[in-house]
Amino acid sequence: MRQRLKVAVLFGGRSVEHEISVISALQMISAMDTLRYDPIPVYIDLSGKWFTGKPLLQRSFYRNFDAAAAGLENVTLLPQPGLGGLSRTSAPNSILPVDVFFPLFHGRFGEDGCIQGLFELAEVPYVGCGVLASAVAMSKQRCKTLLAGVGLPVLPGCLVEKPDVLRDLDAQLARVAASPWLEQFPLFVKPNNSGSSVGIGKAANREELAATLANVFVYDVEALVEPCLSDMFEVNVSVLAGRAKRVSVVEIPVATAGALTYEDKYLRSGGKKSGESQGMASLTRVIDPADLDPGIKNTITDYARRAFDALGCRGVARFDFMVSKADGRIYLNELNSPPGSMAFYLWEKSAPRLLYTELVDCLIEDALDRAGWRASVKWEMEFRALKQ
Amino acid sequence: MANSTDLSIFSVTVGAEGASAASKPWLLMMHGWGKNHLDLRPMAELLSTTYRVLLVDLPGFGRSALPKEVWGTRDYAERLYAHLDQQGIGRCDVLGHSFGGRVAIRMAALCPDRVGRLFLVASSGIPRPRSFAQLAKMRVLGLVRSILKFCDKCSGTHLFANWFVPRFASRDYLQAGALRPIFVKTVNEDASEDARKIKAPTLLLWGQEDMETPVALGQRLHQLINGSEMLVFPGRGHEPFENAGHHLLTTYITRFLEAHAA
Repeated sequence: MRQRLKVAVLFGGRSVEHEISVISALQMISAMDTLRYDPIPVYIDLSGKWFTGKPLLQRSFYRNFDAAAAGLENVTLLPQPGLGGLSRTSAPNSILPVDVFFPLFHGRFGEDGCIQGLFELAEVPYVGCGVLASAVAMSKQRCKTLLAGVGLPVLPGCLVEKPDVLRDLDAQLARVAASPWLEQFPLFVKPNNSGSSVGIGKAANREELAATLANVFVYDVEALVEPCLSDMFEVNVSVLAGRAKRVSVVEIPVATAGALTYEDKYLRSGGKKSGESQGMASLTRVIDPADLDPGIKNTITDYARRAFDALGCRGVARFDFMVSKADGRIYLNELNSPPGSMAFYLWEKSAPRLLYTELVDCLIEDALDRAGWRASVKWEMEFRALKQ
Repeated sequence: MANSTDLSIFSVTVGAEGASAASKPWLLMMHGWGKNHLDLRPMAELLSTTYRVLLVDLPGFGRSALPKEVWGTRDYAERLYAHLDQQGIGRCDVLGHSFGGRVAIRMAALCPDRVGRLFLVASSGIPRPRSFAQLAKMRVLGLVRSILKFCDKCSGTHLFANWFVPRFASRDYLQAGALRPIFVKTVNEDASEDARKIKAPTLLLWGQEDMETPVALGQRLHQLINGSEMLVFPGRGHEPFENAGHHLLTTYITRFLEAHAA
């Protein structure tokens, strides 16, 4: 067998989306072409410790996680170029070789540019968005502000910060009420820097808005208030970077009660025989709906491609849009990079079809390409000013 | 016997609808021991862009009826051909996993002209290669089994069922229920001669960490099947299609099809 690329798949992390990340990562590893790649699971537990070892590949292992009993190894990535992989914390100067890093986190510290910053400092090839695109994409309202700046229609919203609410709740409630599209209840309230519908709530009046904000502030210091649009439906699409950028077919996710909940996304088995959640692949959805206006499909595809470019995204991202049933107006709502299940369920239905195994190939190829460009740039200069 | 068509077989088709379906070849997919057609359903969905897929519950499993007699895998093969006839399917490609692979080998040998291409996923079918120590242990256990059965017969005890079986029988044997006689008959079959007769282009797909049908068994089949190709996936076990592994297998099956166009 030819030499396989060592791919460190990082998942878990200090995030409310920790479990979803584990599901996404194990699913991706099972699709990975192990004739070409040697996947190395790197699990970051809820306290921030990094582990590697084969037991991490078994889903059942996480029910009673015991690193010591399973003989897991503690590793870390030092922010120092040229080390060639992960450092074993138990043995100084001992390196676990890695060729490519594949972060598959959802949420804080993994999807928001933090881990990407570490990859940049260590100068290692990695899959997915860089620091800037990750950080912007994670902050829902700031992302919308940036995309509105390049002419894309975005769903209006109002950012409410925890310290401001603690200082003067009434003033913040009044500010929300005075914001465009937010004059009338009901309103949706969600963490500005989180995903997977964790903490999301619906407020039918002023008192409920205050209570919903309090719930959101358990998970985030910023809350995003958005209109609850009963006359709109959601349409999602995925974009893939690479030597030729591609856009997937669109999907209409099916919510059980107005808005997609954590239960809709992850606790329904999607008809799978085992009943085990397959992450976002579990969600009930209509892929490439035949009755959706082709004009809407084309516009959404165009907006997603433009947003991907405007943010400087890499890897794969999923863009979520809201479409008015009345007049077909389209509003970009948010983006996820990486999306749950890497949005493979969209790519397997796209033309030309991209199976999950091939999607992973594209992502790793893109990471190596980017590392190559980076290596071609001169980042440092020799001492000159201090030598004078 | 097996070639009688009165035993009901449950099957579903995937990708057989639509105007373009008629131009696609058929693929018969057969699951492993103790499973049913749903095990291979996700892979059938992916393969249905190329194929009209017939997914079956093998007799005695899922929603198919239990054979009244103690069938061997040749009986299964004959009954499957009768089912294909009932469905109006002549020549088709065949994919079998584990026990389904054992039946697929029989089918490919029985009517070589009816099998276009053959895919064996962690297939059983020939005796598992064993080390000297393993063979010695089996001999000892065989002797103990014979002694216990003799004692049971003479004295009316139930030493074999109550002492030997819980300790030494395989999980499949213990869980076989009404299929136990068929399990005992088929598990000891050797389809080596039939494997040699296979003419269809054959792809063997194996998980390197398969403990039930180890890679050595697949390599022996690979030697027996003339012109076959074998892929061994590191990090995969006896069900390399589990979770999203069906994407991996479909990727390589698709490449094989491109190289072996009908």
